[in-house]
Amino acid sequence: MKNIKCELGNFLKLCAAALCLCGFSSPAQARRVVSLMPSYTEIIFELGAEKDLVGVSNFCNWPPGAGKIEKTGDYLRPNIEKIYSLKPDTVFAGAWADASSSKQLSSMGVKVVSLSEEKSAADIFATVRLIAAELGRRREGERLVKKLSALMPHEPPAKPLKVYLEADAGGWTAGGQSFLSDAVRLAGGRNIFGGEKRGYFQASWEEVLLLDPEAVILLSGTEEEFLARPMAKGLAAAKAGRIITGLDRDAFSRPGPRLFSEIKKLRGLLYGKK
Amino acid sequence: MGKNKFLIFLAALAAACLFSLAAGPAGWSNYDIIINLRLPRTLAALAVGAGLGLAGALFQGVLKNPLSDPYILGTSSGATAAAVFCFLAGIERTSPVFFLAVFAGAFGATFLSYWLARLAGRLSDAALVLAGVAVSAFLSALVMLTLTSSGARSFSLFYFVLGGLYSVQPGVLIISSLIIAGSGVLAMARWRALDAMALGSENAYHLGISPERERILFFTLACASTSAAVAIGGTIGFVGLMTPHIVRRITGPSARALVPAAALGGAALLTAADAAGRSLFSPSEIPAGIVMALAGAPFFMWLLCKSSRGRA
Repeated sequence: MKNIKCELGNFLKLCAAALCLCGFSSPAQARRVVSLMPSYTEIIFELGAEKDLVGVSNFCNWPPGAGKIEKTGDYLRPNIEKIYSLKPDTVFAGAWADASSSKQLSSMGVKVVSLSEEKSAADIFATVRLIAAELGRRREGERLVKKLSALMPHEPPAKPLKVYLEADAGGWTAGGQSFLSDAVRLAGGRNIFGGEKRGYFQASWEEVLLLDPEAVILLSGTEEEFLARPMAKGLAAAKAGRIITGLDRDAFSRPGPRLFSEIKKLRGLLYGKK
Repeated sequence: MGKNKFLIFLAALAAACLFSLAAGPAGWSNYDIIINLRLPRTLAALAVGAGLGLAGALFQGVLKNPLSDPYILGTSSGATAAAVFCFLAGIERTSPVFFLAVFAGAFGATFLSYWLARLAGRLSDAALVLAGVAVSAFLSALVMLTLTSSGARSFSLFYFVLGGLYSVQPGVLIISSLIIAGSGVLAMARWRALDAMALGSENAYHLGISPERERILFFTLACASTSAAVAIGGTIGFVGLMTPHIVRRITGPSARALVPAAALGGAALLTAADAAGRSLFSPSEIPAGIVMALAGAPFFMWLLCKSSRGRA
């Protein structure tokens, strides 16, 4: 407390000195922020800090306003020159995505905030808090976390359904090290590959048949295409009519704010009355 | 080639089929899985492997170049590029238009390589391989450009370009198998011409064979076979390169035995590779294209070492 008072005192003195020098007080300078991930962009908009954004990744298409902001390449290969030319004071980058470009930017004097990969809903909240803190919007961050937590279903189902989630055709699915697996859990399902200590991998179709999921979530492709695979019609999910294609692909596959309303939607699709 | 030697290939083929039918997380006693899941997939691997092995033997025979195969000559890249454009245009994989387009892509790319190589004057095999590499690289870049700039379905298309047999449509399998079998029969019927070509263009000419015409004919058969294989399983490399070399050690150089043996050998090789990819890393699946590259690239290096030592 004493420290804060002391600092406040110093600050006031400085301000007074500045006032004396210039004769007026300049408004707080606006931040210049670049976001290299669609989920970060969506979080920044939710925090009400979209005016600070001067650059986003090529994949940032939500909310609609994000489409109008300068594009700076994709998160795996950001366009360093473009980012530098936007003169940002903060760049939000995925820690796992491209360490060398982060280093390059840092060496050019740009502040890079590397956020670790989100492997669960709790990790997404941590990212929200970190971004909020960086942007000086801690209160908005807490409010957002609270709002998103409230969206999640709170009562677990009596018997969780076994769920197979296919992120992309060809059997690309999520293991336990992925936020998608956590999203399935929060929606009241049990990812059949949740025990795999990995993020994303290509599952063998035979294994899917053996584990016999009671619900299938397709983020790409149609129900007809899925049911045309060998023996797919014999799956418990197919018999129960629980081949779910109604989720918003972008919203569900990004560790951002929109995921939580999708989780709520998924709960309804899994357990809702037909 | 004696009948005994042919038995070696049939035994290898039978072993690969047994492995493919018996291997998998469900074990070897689940009748449903074996009939409905592993059998169609084994048939697909057999067809693609036979098609690529056949194409490899024909290209190597016509060009007298041990390093040529559908991948190095741009044939596969042409077929893959045509297939990707068909997918984006929404053309069904079982429609005749799709097969015609894929064949046209394969033939166009091979012919472009051929034409480029001829620009230098008399066709040299080295120039053809060089032109093939250029055409292949350009088409692969075109496919990558299309994939990175096309939105939603790009990931599944990526998977197709990588090569694998995860999902095979029965209709595509039937049509492709017929094309591959037809090309094989036509090629075997002309084994004498292929052998004559091996003696060099001039000698072939003296034997009453027009090298130019035969070359186009065998190119057409190899392209048809390659494009049918690509239609099923995307870009799978090294089968066409490796198989003729392995089987030649047993059959000797005559096309009469080499061509059918390469088809059988290619079928066995890819069937075993696909079975290994889907059973060794369960519950993950490694696409057959990656398994083949893992096995094939070292083979390619060995081949290069051997041929450079032979020259020294």
